[in-house]
Amino acid sequence: MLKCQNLKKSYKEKCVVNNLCFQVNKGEVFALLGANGAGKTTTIKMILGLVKKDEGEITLEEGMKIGYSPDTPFFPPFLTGREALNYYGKLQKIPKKELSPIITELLETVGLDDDKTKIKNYSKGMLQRLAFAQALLGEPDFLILDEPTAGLDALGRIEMMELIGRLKRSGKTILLNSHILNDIERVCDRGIIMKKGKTLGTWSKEQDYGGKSLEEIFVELVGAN
Amino acid sequence: MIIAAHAIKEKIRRKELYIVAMIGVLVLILFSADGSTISIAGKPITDYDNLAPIFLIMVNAICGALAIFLSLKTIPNEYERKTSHLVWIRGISQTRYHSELAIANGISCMLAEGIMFIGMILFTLMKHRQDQLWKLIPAYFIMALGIWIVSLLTSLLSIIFPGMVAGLIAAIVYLAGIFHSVLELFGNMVSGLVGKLLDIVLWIVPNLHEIQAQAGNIFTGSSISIHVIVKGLFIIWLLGLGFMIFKKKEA
Repeated sequence: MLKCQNLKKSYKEKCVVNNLCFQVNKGEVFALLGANGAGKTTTIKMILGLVKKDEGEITLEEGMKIGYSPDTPFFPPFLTGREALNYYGKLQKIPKKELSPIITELLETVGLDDDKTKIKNYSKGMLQRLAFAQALLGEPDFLILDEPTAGLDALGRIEMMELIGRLKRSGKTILLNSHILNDIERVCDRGIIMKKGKTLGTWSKEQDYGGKSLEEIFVELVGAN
Repeated sequence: MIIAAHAIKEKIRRKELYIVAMIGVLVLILFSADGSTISIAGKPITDYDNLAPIFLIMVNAICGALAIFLSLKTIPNEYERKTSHLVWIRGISQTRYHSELAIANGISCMLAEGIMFIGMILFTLMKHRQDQLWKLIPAYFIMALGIWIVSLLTSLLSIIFPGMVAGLIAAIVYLAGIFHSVLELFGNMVSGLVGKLLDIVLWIVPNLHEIQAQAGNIFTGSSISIHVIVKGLFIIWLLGLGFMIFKKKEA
């Protein structure tokens, strides 16, 4: 579904992504793991074409629809959640008649009330949910979620992870980036551990690490490098 | 025009447009109050036909500054708050994105100009010259040409340069534009390198004074130069092309 080969990106003299290689298969939840500044968001932006890569190759399955939820979502504060989704739905050329029921369903899916509450009164968690709903517009095959649980409280995180799990079961392919390892361990199938733009190691749910948790593997790898 | 409509809605709801335009209206009302007089070479001007063009100069000056203010941050704000990400990934080209935002800026400036023209309407009514009210309509659209030029230029500069630099260049071009005639006069007096430089500047900078003067001609009864209007439209078209050329490297 997605193949990244030898990706490189530098800002001025600073290399933020260095020779990164990974592949995301259809139907799996793949994680980019790493501390802040590891190059996770830059990698995502390169995949989405928001940032130009210096070197390497990104291959995406032809005709695939992508949904993206940013790490710091911003929506015009004077709009309601429905109005914001309506705007992005129109940009995606979703027919007007279809859009309204789609939005109703999406708001329900992400657990947001379909009311007159303005976005300026939204909590950070509600903003994340709205960003998630916006990513689901147009039924994408591939979801890219940048820090989907950032700013959420414990309950919000659990709900978000359950939602990701539901989407996975419905056949969606998901690439997500997070530094909250418990979340990753709960929903992801595979992932790579990054530091300063490089891959330190890989992680797979299937593999036996001798009883070690992802957190322990992460600390071992990042600590040693 | 989904993006443009959305951006206009945002500007209207943020109320900055009204606040700034109302300040302009207040300035106009103050000048048109019964106690205040406008004098040229010590001679007070009291009749409506001569006062109206002077008021148009004031409206033009305020609207031009307003156009810079309203257009400078629209596009950079989109990138700053990363709403651009959600637009880019939906396959919207930069040309369409930036053009629609620039159109939104232009329309917002026209709305502000409309609010300013309320001052002109009040002034006309206060002078009991209801018969002149219709003249405000063509004057509004002719002056809108100059305002669109300033707004589009500011929007375009905001893609290329950081905010302060873009604002500064736009302000310099705008001032040179409204004082075009004065600079031309000065250019005739100086020679050498300064003269040549001034010639180049005057060739590049759109003559905003000339456009505004055509609106004034409606009130004085002088003929309107179609050439100036067409030139104004041509500059707008040229600036529009700029949105196809200048692009952001990253969202």
